[in-house]
Amino acid sequence: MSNRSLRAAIPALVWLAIFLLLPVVVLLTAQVEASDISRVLTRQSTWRIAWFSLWQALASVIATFALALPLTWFIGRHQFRGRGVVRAFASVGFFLPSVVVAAGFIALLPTRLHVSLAAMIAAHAYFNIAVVLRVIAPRLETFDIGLLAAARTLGAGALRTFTSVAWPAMRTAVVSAAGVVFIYCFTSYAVVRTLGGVTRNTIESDIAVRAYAIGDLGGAVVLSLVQVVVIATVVLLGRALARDAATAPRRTTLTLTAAAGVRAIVGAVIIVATLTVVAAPLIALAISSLQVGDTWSFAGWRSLIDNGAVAATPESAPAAATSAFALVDSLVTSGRTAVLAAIVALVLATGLARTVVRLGTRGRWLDAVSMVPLIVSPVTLGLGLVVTFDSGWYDWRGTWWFVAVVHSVVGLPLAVRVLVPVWRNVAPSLRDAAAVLGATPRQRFIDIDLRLLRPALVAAAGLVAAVSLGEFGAASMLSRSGAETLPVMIARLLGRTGDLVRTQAFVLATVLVVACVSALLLVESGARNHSHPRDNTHA
Amino acid sequence: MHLPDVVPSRMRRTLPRTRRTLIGLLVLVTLTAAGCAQDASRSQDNGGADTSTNDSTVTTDAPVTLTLLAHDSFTPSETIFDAFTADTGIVVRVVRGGDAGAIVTKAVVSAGNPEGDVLWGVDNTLLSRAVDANVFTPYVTVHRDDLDAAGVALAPDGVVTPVDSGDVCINYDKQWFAERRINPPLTLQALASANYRNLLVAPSPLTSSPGLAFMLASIAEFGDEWTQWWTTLRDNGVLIVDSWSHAYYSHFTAASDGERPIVVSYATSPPAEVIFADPRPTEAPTAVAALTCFRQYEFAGILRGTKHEAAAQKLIDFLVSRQFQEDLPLTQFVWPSNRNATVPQEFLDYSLRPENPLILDPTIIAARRAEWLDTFSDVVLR
Amino acid sequence: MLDVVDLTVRRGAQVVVRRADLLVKHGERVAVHGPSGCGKTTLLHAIAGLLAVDTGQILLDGVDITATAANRRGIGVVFQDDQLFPHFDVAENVAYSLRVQGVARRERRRHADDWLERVGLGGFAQRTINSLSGGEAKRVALARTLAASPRVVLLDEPLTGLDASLHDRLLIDLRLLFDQLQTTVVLVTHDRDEGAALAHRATEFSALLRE
Repeated sequence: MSNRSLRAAIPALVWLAIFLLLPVVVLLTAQVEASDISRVLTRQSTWRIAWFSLWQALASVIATFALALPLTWFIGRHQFRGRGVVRAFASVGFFLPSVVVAAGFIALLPTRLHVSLAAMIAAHAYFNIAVVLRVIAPRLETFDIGLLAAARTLGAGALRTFTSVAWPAMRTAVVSAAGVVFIYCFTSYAVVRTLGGVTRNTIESDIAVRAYAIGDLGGAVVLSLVQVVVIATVVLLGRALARDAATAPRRTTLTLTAAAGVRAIVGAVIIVATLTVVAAPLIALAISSLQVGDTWSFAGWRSLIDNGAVAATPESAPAAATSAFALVDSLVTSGRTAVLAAIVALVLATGLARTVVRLGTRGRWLDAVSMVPLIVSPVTLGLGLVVTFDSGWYDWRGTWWFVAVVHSVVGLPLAVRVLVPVWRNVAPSLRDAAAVLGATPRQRFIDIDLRLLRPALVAAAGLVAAVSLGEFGAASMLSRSGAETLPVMIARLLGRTGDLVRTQAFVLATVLVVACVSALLLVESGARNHSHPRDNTHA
Repeated sequence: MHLPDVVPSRMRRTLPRTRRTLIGLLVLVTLTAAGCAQDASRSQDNGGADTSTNDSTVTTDAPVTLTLLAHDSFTPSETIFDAFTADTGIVVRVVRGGDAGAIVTKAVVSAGNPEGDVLWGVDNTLLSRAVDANVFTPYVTVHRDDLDAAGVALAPDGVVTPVDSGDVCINYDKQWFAERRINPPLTLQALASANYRNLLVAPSPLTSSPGLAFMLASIAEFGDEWTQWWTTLRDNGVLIVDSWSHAYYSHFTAASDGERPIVVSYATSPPAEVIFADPRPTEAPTAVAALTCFRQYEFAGILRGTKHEAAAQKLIDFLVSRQFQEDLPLTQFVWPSNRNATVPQEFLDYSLRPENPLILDPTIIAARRAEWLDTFSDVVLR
Repeated sequence: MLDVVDLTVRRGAQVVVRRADLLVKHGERVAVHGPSGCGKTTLLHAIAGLLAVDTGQILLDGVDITATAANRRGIGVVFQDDQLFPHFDVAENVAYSLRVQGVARRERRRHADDWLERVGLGGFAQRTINSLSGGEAKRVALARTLAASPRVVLLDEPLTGLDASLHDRLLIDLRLLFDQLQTTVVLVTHDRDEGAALAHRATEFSALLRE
């Protein structure tokens, strides 16, 4: 059995070895000398920065759960009209590039809060709502509420019911989500830089300063190793907490209840509150797109539409922004990359997750390996890729598909994170039932596993596409040809003088928000349409 | 009873299989790594002998596609390269690789095996780092005598070619000072005065290119005393933020709800305030303190290891030709390097071009920049 | 004819079934009794091919199927907790064995309607699994198993957990159906009355063991 399942993980492992391990090793051997290691490790600021990265990340995890759990619970446990729409909207923050979210926060917050620990942690929480929602809700959906009732009737108190029944069943998903959020916040870079201010540095932002501003590549690479060690330690501790999760009660059936009565009211309050938080910075962006300086104006939107022809004529507003044509071009470029990255990551993650699940506790090392792309410094990986894939037939730098390949590597851990807890919940006895009805192993995989995993697969694809569209981490470190991507365009416009230019940046940010929400809604509806209409088990 | 061992035998097979698979994986990875190492060493060999490398590549009739590596702020008019392609048959593919620091760092690590053929956007604060790493192949452009002499002097022997320049200066909100009948600060020394307590916002040199220029301006002005000046500035309530845009659009009174009427920005910010406003005002709301300006030059160079050196030389010539240079002011808000290029009237009307900007030798910058930045962190960002 | 010879099955290190023999003739229905946890279910799963056997042989109509994969044994199982597929509707559950053979949807549906009629669930084709009562779910599970035309049907506690009236009705229906189809059945249950009502002969689980 295990040789079979290991085979399924091999494509993903090879992929990670080639596009993650190899570049880092090549960069390491080329740039780091022994003196760099002692220099970095003995510098006092290294440990101050590491400590700050650690505690702000833990604080951000708590903030994220506080913000996201109520909605996650409600969506995970209840069936109601517009469920998919709510889920799509609530996830949008994760899909947006940090430059856009930071701009939204700045547009929203009073000046004195622009640079503060609170703003920074709030932005981290904002970004990661989607992670909690998408990792934990699918687990909640298949959680047998009858178990709770059973425990209660056997005389267990509320606390005991929770600790003995609910928590063991939820533990993997919760620890899984917390781990991902922790890593994202620990390695946060753009948000720390923009909202945290210049005196607050995470290891990742220090790596960027060392590599780009100071030109101390050896120091930067050593710091990225320090980062790997610190994160790995914390994550392994977390996984020790989730140890016996594989023995948690299994239940495959969707057990959603209809939201009615008091629950409907509670749900409405949660939904409205969460969506208000999610929407506020985005609405602030949209409002900013309708202002030039202090006055209301459609000039930003107008310039987008009729800017194509005026590039070279100094009499009219120059083409500092972009034409609608170039905008469509960049949306197509980003979309194409995102789709390819999502497909590749999904195929690889499915194989890897299958193996992790099949191996049970013996698969834990594999589970840990799948997380590695998240903890490797994007700056380091980006530079490693530049020096590794640099000549002959494998000089792939600057091609659009290489960007997608790297996006698939960075997105893989998220996809695995979403798939594993749900897959663990697919009862093996259903596969047995299919087997005695004549289904071959392949048919069992397609008819049972893949069908039951569909919501998780959709969620995973969405997250990978988000990583790609938002140009997360190493994705933003790659050189790219062709149309500027929207995040790059927005960052550039925000970096220039002129009210109209700034307004155009907000126009593009608004377009990006609308594009992301539409894409999310499309994915949600796609998930529904593909299922056999009579298969609807949510009723 | 030959059947009972189905399961045990299957389990017995497992280990060797697994191991075999892992070994296969390792072999694959090792081979790939070996291939890379081999190529890297080969390219270094090439690099060492770069005077003898391929100069004859454009002799064939096949159309050449050149890759122009640039920072994210490189935004010429969309059709600007069409004329070049029509003249030479060379197609230009623009590849953007992050900010100026990022593209230079990437060029350094891939020296000799470049991501493209020509690099646009290394400036005088980064130049020596790239030159020391042997990133470029020299070329003296046919337009050399038309170019800004000070810029050319920074890059002797044509290792790179100056393409544009701009000044980073103290900008202030004219109305704010007029209303309060206070004189705006005209020198760096003045900024340390108590009159300007809590009025200045500046981007950090660690994360922002104008922030770095401003720090270098203070070094050019005060020499070794620069840290004392920053200490005074810090005690005088200077606000340091991560980026220019944050300084300008969150804290500068003329451009935001902020509370600081003095900002580190560009000499071209006042014309931008006019040209990119709707409706356009008759005069700029902001002004520049000319004596505080630090000049940034941007350069383009041919990347060593290109397979299209002759074509790359043609592209360098085009980048400093009048046609391309005249596109620069209004698309990227910089001054052209080619003195024959006509600068749009509105650009001239509102811009200030300081006569004697502050400047530092790139080699000194390269030698001491890390030390200066560490000092700045310690003194100002405590 | 099902012939189990000297069968030993382990779960991990523990021997759960030790040297069991069982002979069921064509069309015969045998009830196996025993307290819960004695290994009845393990025996059924081993016969069905869901568990690998340690030693011993399973012969079906004289052919050794000990090493044959579960999906090619032609042995049907009605699981204790049904194991209906929650993501398919009732009809698609019942016709699943036809689905895996590549039978067209329309044909599957006709077949499913047919079988649902026979187990007394006409009109249930488009119902979701979650909407079924315990008795209905059991009938669907039975229809699903029989629709695959298995040579032997294994029933694991088929009537456990149903309330009295449902229990009796299903018992009668099962018996009529099996009589009509001449199905070969192995039934494990802790309820002797149930065994007596459904099977031609009953045996204690412990009596199957050589030691």
